[in-house]
Amino acid sequence: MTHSNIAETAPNRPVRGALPRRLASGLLLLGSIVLAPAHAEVAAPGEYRIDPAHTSVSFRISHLGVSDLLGRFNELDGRFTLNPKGRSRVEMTIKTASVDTNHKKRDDHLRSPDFFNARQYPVMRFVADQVAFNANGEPTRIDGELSLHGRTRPVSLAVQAVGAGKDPWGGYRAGYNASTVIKRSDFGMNFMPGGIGDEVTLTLAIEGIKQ
Amino acid sequence: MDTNLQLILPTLLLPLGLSALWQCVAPRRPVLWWVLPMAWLPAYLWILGGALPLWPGEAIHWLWPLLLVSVVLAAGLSRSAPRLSLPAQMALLAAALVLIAWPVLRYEPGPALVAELLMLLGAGSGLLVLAARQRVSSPALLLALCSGGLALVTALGGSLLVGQLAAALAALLGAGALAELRGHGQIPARQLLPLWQLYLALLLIARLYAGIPLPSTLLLLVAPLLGGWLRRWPGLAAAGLGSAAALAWLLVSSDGSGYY
Repeated sequence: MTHSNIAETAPNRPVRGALPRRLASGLLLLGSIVLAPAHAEVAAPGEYRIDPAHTSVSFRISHLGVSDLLGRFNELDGRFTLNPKGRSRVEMTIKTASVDTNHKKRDDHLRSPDFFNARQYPVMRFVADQVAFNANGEPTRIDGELSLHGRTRPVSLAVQAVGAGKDPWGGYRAGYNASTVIKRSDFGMNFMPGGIGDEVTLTLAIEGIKQ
Repeated sequence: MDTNLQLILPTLLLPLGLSALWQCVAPRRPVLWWVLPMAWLPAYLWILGGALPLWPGEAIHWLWPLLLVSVVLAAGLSRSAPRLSLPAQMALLAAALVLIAWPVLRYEPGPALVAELLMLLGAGSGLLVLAARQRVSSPALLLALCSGGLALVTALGGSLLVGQLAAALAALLGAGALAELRGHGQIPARQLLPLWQLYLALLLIARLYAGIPLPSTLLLLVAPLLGGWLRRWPGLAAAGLGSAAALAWLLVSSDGSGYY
């Protein structure tokens, strides 16, 4: 059932004239365009710029061994080229000071030398040029290097293609979900090992705009 | 290990124990004075996670070379070339401040940062002069008081790690401060020069990397100067009030969201 169908069959809708009816159907048409699902097609090869407005990088870490804390980074940038038959490359830069766990004091603490030391290491950077694809030409794994807190370590991301297709503004977009688990101690972030877990699950939801 | 124990052991118990041990042995053997500043290193290593950062990557990694060089300068130059000892310590302070601030200077240079560095260098040099000329009465108590204030401000201001390092410095002076309080002698102020260097370096780290407010930083800079200049109880009272005011400023200016 489409959005239009829901609206048209909704009971007790006050219809008093042509103008409100046209306004309502216009809004519904706009909504159906914006909310229309992207085609479930394999993304066209080429270079994509990461759309920061539709990309999120979040993390999950154990707190005192009794719960998991969720957080995210609000400022990021990057580009990727995914080509099953040619050269692939992923570059992503995340501002460490944009860490957000919905608690200002904790965010300030996370920016301090205890953790990210954001003033000294303002960005974390992921660079990869090894991408594995499945038979459909969708990426399934990205192997690269993550530079964080002054250290660079190899990191492997498990990738799932979400969709690709034209957007309402004439562009072409492709989206992926990716995740990995890193150890913060590998990056020299050793503070409070008893209270805060060593393993950090990183989850990325990436949308790229074809250039 | 229990989290609280993990915090208390390197921050308070270890340096306090070493301080008491030094107080039992060293005052009768003045040649062992340098052991006290160096006794801060085990706590430093423990707090940092055990490995000595041989090549300084972060600002806090400059602390151990600063301490080591300052002890060597104090031990060597004060005997062979006493007139060079104080200028050498001041030059060391200037070098340490630039090295610690370098990552910020590189990315965010600006007149405000340079002004803060110059202020710290000026006041820090004044402090070193007071200590080197033995003008400071109750030097261990004064430094313990100011380091304790810095530890509280930094830990509540955003960096527990830097706060722990400052608290370990305060605890290392615990036994000496107690002896001064009871009138059982005092450590010569000149011998604490390396620890004053540490205090100033920690204050800069707290300001630049943990983001403690500028007024609190200035109060923690003025407090030991006043303490050394006024001498005895008025000096200690002024230093204590300065540290308390720095903490009060931090608490009043914070956004009020709860600790976690």
